[in-house]
Amino acid sequence: MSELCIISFPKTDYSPIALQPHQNLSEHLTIQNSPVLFGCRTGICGTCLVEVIGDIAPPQADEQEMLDTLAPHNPNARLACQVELTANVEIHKIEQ
Amino acid sequence: METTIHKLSDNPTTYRKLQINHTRNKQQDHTALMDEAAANFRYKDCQDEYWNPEEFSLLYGTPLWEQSTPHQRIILNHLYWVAYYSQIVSAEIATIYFNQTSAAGLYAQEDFRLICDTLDLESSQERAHINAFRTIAKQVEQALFGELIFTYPMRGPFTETMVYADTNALKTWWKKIQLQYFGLISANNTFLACQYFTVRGVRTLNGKLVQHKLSNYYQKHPHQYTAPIPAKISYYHFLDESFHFNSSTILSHDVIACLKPPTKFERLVANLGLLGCQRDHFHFSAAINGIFWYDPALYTKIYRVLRSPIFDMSERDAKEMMRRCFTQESEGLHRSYLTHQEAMQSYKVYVEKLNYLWRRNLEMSLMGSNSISRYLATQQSAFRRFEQHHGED
Repeated sequence: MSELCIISFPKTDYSPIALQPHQNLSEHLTIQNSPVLFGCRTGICGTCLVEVIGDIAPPQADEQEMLDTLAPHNPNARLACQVELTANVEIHKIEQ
Repeated sequence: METTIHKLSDNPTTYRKLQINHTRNKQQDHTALMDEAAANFRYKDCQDEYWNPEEFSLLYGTPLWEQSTPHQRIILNHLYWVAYYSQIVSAEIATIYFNQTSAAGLYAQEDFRLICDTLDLESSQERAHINAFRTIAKQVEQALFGELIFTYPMRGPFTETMVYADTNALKTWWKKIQLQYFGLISANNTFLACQYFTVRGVRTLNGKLVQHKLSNYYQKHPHQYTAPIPAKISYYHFLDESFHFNSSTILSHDVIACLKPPTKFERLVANLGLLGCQRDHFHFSAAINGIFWYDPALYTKIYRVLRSPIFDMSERDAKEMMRRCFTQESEGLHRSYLTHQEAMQSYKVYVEKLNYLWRRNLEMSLMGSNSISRYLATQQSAFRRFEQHHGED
């Protein structure tokens, strides 16, 4: 079994969550166990825009196009529904 | 000479979001695939397999589910699909109408064309969704029961759905008048046109909670090419609706912020609209997780299912089963309640920055006042009435 990835939410009351690598965050995080609200879940609406700190793959072109619009000055901004989980990550909510 | 006309494109971020949404939706439009799938649907080709994850079956986790045979469980799984998407048909009929009235209200905005083109595309997609859902649902119900149960003849946008089946003529008339009046005034008011998308966004946000799981069934299917067509349609629908949810978000969060602050009247109408949405989503259903139906409205339909040759129950056994399913706690009821709670929390976050909303809308307090014990008290009272008035067929 692969080592679990720990998703933590610093500076919040939410407990960390352990997931298998490559699991889809939008299938496991909810507004009740994390600060992330998932809207469309397909990388278009930006509802799940967050800052992700951790060693994960960079965004694909479609996600990058949205990030260039939604958070052009934040190199750590990601759409949580599009993140390919491969390592421990910290997630911070971006206030829009 | 410097122009003083305010244009939507003066806000480049909002305009860019609208452009990306429209462009990608056109490129990825699933209408042709949806139509092809619906045309190729033959119930016999997929009648022996699940179409949704097992927990998305009619009356899942209730005593009926516990005692059903594997064959009956597959049918309950199909009936969830039929019942769920019959409700979505109602929502989409209303969406087509209000897309048009809201588009009229947005004509007053410079650069209106992009938004209106987006809404036109969405309406045409809704028509394809409606066709697919009804084609499949009618064929399934005819095959299983020889009659329509959850499916209904096409209707206009002001007709009550099963959410309200226990309403009365006066309430139905009043609701129709309110919807017609909202359509009329929002067609002449850009703020209210945008506000409609707050309600549409909340409703779609609710849909996404379940539709994501339904679409995953196809996406993770080991043999996608031979996967059941209804599962495929759930997936196509989910993808189309992602763009629709995005439009709702941009219009209700970003475009609305480009307008003058609302007047007292506009605030009143906007808040009444959202309060109505809370009222629509007050209930949760033991029969169907994810649609906030008023379960007494389903009693006659579930009774017909239980009395059909598929379950072959006597009058007495059918009623006793319904009493156990609807008036007692079950795993299914708790799952539906959890979905209701998640939806309510999601709505709160979705509307939290809309500063013209009343506290009871920001806190979703009407929706939050429902509970398992309140559900059971309502059912116990309604079921007694059902038993008294529903004799042998």
